Amino acid sequence: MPVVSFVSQVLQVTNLLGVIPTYASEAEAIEAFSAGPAAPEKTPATRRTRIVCLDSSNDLLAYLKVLLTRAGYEVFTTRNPSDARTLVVATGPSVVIYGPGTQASESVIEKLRQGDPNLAVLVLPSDFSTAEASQAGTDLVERVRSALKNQV
Amino acid sequence: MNVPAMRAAAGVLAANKAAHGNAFRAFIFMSELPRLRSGQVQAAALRRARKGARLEGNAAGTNAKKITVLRRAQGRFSSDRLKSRTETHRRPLPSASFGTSTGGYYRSKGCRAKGRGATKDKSNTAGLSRLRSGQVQTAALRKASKGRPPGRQGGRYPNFQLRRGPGRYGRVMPTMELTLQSEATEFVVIIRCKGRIVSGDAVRALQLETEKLTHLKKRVVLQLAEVSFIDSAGLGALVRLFGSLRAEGGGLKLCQLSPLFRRFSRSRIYSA
Repeated sequence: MPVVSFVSQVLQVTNLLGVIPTYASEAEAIEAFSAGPAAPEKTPATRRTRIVCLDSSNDLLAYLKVLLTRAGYEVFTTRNPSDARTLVVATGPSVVIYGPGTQASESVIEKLRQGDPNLAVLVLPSDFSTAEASQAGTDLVERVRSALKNQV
Repeated sequence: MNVPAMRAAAGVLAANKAAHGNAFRAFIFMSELPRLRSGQVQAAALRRARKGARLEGNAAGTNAKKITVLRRAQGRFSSDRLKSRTETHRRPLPSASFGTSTGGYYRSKGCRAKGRGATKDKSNTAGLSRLRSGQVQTAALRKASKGRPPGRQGGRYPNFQLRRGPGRYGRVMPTMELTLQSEATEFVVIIRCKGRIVSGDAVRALQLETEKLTHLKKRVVLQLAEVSFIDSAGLGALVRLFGSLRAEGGGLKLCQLSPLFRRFSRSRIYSA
């Protein structure tokens, strides 16, 4: 049974290991600063499936953005419900994700679907932000994939 | 008057009212309202006072730590109502620990006593001679409800153990689950984390510590050797921290990730 770091496991499972650099020791991490900043990741030029995320927490939105971007989607995030409606109209996403900090009522979802009847709306459970990051992340990506499959 | 500040003050009033479950008591802590000047706090309290409340305490001056707003007790607290309120205060002691801002545990003598036990706490009524009898009772209740945990003050329950668990209303109390130790070197700030990086107080503490230390040095090393758990919001906070530091020309490096004996399933990895 291999010894695996808990945090590195979370980063690997959520595919974020390449986002934040990790080092074995403090000395190595300090020394790495002298090498200069790493080049930012290049995003593919092809159009990717778009997802709009809405939640009241900036931390959770940052997590959703980096998680879904690394999973191959183009992600737009906002904290404002009216901005979310504007983003849905402007970007034409395939999936809209409502975070636990929002109130996604049936009427709101119906309004969103008026423009695109195939639009998948996912409402995250209330314990999403407090669940283990790797578990919550993998579950969300699986939900997004199954929702997109159902659309096709 | 600053309208957002007033809204914040009203929010604190409402939150305190809801947290303590007392319709007749509300606190404004100056620490919670760093942007408010004393005049604004006074205005917030006075606005509440106009709605049938009575302002008491040192509301004037910048040194006022808190303002206590009491409703007019006259004719409002009949014996039955006071009894029902006393019942509210006589909830059984939970086996929970105390978070950073839990408060409201009713442990002192007054609240442990039967019936109108709180009114028997004579010491609490000192300095309240100007109040009417109903006010004395409510004031005594209020004072008794502010008792510190006996384990901390070494009083009635010297062996009282602070443990984590469900709170007074069955919810988990916020606890400071993350310990931070920071060290600033010539070029880099090292922050050693111990505990759980979870949403709430832990993430807020990490953000505050980082903001405090990264005024001049934007290069941060997070040592996560003793981090046992990280949730979605915690990981999001790390991502945000990384992004903000990189945007300011610095960077964030993680090191000494905590060891855990667990079989790692590669089947869960997905790729872009």
